[in-house]
Amino acid sequence: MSASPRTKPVPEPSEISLPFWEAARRGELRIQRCDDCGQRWWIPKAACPRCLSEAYRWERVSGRGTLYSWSAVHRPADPEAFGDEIPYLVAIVRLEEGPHMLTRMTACEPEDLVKDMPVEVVFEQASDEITLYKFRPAPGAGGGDPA
Amino acid sequence: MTDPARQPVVAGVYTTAMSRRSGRSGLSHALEALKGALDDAGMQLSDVQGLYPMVNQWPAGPASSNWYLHFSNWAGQLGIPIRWFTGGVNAAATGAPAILDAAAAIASGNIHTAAIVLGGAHPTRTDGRTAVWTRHGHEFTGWTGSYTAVQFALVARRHMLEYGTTPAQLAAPAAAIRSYGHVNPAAVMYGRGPVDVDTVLESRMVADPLRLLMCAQVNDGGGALIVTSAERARDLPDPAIRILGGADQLCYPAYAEAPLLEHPLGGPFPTGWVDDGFARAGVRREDLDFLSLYDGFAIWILTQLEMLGLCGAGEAGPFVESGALELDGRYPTCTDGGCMSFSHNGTPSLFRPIEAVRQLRGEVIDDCPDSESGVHTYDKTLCRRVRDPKIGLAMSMGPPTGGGNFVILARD
Ligand SMILES: [Zn+2]
Repeated sequence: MSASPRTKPVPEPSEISLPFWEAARRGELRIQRCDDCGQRWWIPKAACPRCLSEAYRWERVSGRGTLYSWSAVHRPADPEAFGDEIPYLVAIVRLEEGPHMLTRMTACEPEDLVKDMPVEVVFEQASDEITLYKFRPAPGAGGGDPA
Repeated sequence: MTDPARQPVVAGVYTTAMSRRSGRSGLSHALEALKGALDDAGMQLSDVQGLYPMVNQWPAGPASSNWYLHFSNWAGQLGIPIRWFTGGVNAAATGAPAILDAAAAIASGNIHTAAIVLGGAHPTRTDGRTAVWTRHGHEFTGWTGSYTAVQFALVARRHMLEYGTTPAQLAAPAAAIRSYGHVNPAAVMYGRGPVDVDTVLESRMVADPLRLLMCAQVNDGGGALIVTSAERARDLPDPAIRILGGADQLCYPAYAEAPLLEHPLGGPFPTGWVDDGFARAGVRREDLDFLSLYDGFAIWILTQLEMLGLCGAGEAGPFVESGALELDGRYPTCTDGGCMSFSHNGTPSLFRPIEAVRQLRGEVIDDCPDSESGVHTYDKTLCRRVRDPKIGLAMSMGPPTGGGNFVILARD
């Protein structure tokens, strides 16, 4: 995949999300976890969505999960940005730790995908600052050959 | 109990011509619609005390690039004082939620009349990109190449995985709704059918499993609706349509977070809001004669039917496949052709309730030879008129899952 960072949208970290992106650059998947009630959540928020505590940590998660849903996109909103990848696989992964992430499936074909199959995170550098978090079939998941 | 004189009613509606290249601004459509709806209600601009406006752009001055200036510019443009300006900050809130808010403001005596008005105009794109409102620059969405159609495709896929919903079942609502638009001369897709399930399944793939004809099309146009009290509507020429009640629920920020069939913090989405809305309206589900659901994408019709409790969870696929949404079905749905065929102007939330008002008033123009005189054939190849409807439910734009908004309307 020859992704051109000039034409593809690259996320801009916010004050809240910066630790997530710093961790991704180091190859670590981290999400927020409440110090008071233990709730984990995604996407980043200013406070715990269960108890409203503003005390939280960026806890490293396993990077393992299951495939909740996916779509092979044939018609991108912006062909200039994504036309070179058609069809590309947008997916929702349920992390082993609970929260769901909107992401991309990579290193597989649409026909390899089955409900709730095990997947694992794979990092892909998009710019000096931003490393993207995609997922691929976990080794031995069957169906696909993640190579 | 509401003072009977303050019972909120819809007194006037209007829609502009829907077209692909109007050469006019969204504001121009909105102003035409506002004047048209006031005429329909037998009212003047000076009667309007509350306003719920939405245009896709404000064409002149500093407001053109600044949504809150754009918002507050309305009083200046209309030349009247606005006393109730509490909603309408996004396209969703200019549909059923605006009607409910205006109804509450009128029932409580804060104001006596409100106008909901919207207009959208979108030059046909030549660069291959989809309509501007489909594209979301959210930090955790934009990079994936997801946009509105993809978010709904993800809902559709999970619905298929959990319940065995089939592509033909996803196509059924698109075929039913587009076939209504085929016989509605006011629809932008008038005469472009009829559409059956095979036609939908043969259209090109957009975001698997959603195909082109399972997604709304894009056009220019505007609409307006006047809410007032029963007392002020008493002497109006057309029968007022009573606003019985409704409800609204949001559980997460659409398009910023992944659209799930369950609550992001675990467990099912709360459903009590729907029961509360029916209870406040004093209506049972079996009382509904027709639906005007929000059909931005075909899967949305299935999830709304389930969310409203009009069929069981996971049962919407077989339900729509049985013909339930067609003119001779249990719930004729989006009888104007909906977002898919009548109009999606970027801010189409109000068109669903407007169609409900027209069905309740009996103002339904179609291909029946004498429809202008209110005479209908009830032949599906010509007709889109529900038989003698008394109560209808309209939904407006909402989140992909976990909530939405609806209003229940009735004639005496
Ligand atoms: Zn907490």
